[in-house]
Amino acid sequence: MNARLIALALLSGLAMGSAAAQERADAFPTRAIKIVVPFPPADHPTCSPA
Amino acid sequence: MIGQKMSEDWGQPVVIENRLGANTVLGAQQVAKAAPDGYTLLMAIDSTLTMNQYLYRTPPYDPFNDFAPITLTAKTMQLLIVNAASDVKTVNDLISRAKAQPGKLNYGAGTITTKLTGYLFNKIGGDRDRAGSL
Repeated sequence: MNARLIALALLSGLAMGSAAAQERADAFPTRAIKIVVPFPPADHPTCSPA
Repeated sequence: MIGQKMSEDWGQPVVIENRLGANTVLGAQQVAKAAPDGYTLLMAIDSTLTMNQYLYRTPPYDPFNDFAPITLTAKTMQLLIVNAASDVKTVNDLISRAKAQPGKLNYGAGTITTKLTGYLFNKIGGDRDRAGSL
């Protein structure tokens, strides 16, 4: 009986953990995203200040 | 432009940070050292992921292990162009001119990629005297 309860509790925990992980992924992003753009090369004419 | 559309899609601010220099090495290094939480992205190009590891003795990032690819955002092409007043009209014209005047033609390249293309052009059919010395 105890073994069944323990197994049930473990399975429930796994299911809840999986759902929580999925929820976090669906909620992404929750803050600002930074995109680093490393080009064109610094000595390129288009890099000159306007 | 891309950042603005991404911000609209995600409902979160997208900040573009222009980190120029060293043939994209500086920006790539910054992202490689950033927290791996998905909030710092790198707009990588061919130099970043393929060439720099061979051009720099000790590049400060590993293109294979420091980044995870997400998507292809754009494709580019290279064009071989001469002055409109030139009598060179075809690639064969250019090769003939280069062979007739070894070491005399000049080639302008805006990036490492186009510079390497010039080396390759010289090596396989152009001015062999200048292959590797553009």
